[in-house]
Amino acid sequence: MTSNLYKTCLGCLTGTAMILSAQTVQACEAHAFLTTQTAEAKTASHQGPVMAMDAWVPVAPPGVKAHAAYLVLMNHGADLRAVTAVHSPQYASAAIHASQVKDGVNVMQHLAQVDLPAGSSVAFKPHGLHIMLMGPKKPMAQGDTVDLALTLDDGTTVAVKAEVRKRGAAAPMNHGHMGHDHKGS
Amino acid sequence: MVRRRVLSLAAFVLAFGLGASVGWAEIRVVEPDKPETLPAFALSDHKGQPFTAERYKGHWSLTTIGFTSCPDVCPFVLSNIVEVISQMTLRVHPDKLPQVVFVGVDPGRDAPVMADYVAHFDPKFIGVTGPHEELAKLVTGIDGFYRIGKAKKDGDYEVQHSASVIVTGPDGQVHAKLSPPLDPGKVAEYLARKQIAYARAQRSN
Repeated sequence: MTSNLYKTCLGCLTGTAMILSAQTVQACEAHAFLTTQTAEAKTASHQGPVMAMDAWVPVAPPGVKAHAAYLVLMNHGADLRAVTAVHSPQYASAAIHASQVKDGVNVMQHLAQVDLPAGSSVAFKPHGLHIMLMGPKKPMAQGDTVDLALTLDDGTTVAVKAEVRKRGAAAPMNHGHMGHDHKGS
Repeated sequence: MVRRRVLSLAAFVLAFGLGASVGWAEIRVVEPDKPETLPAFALSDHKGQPFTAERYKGHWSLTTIGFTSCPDVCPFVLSNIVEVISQMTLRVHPDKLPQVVFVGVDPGRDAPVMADYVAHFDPKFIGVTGPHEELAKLVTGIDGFYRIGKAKKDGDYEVQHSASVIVTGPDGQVHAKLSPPLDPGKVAEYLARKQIAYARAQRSN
């Protein structure tokens, strides 16, 4: 994960043209500072060392009972954390899944937990890690907000507001400006 | 066994000189040595009209396998195809835009929502489903695969299915298999060139 960390911080540095020492720790502090600002702007949450940003739920076709939520989780703490459960009051159930292609076949795997290594970010994005939301209690439309509660292994909860929006060219799958794009995942 | 060759985009760069800015292996294409004929099958489209191998004739098509309650991959691939089509509008005549077929392999859950489902992506997309024995014929014919898992306690079940997007020509035959994610511009370029090569071959016959 060191390389991810490096990429994340490097993305941040190049993105803002800030001149800082290339020392990882400093770069990451800068990153944390910047993401806090971005997070406030995007109404993401920042309660503890683990924070969420860019949370969104693609508008699902009408009648479809399975939705997906995507976000980026960052662990700015010094300890390994893990997401162990997800809940949304607007859905009957929520779970963490990973879409994988095995021998050319799409397989969805249920994950009991997702590790968040210290100083690292994990991207939940289309065609990969995602939060599967089953059974919307009411239809979700563009502009709506989905409340997500992510339970961590230390018993704390990260509250996240995910925006319902259309999939499209601007979907975060390709936005690498913050360096969150984990190539090859 | 049909022998296949795997072509990365790099091979096309050499063949067509697309330019140095094109990345490696951003589209993955498998082409059969010879176009493969589709078997006979009898399915229904989202309007309740019969959907058979005949519906593939006379135009290019992109076919993908999935199920409507798939939250992540299927909508992702269909949105990806929307972008491919939009890129193709810059390259080919509107009459040459491929027909897009979404094969829902979970008929019990797919049939009731199919019309709204495909229209969500593009009103021109065709959603197809039907009995498993008929689905199996089409899916096998396009060298695909699907499996419905056992129902869990909550009644939900897993559906596994092939990831590829199948390219068929106006002859109703399978010409290529693309692996998502599809780079819209590069795939549109590939398909436009495929159409030109096909038309040229038809003329010389």
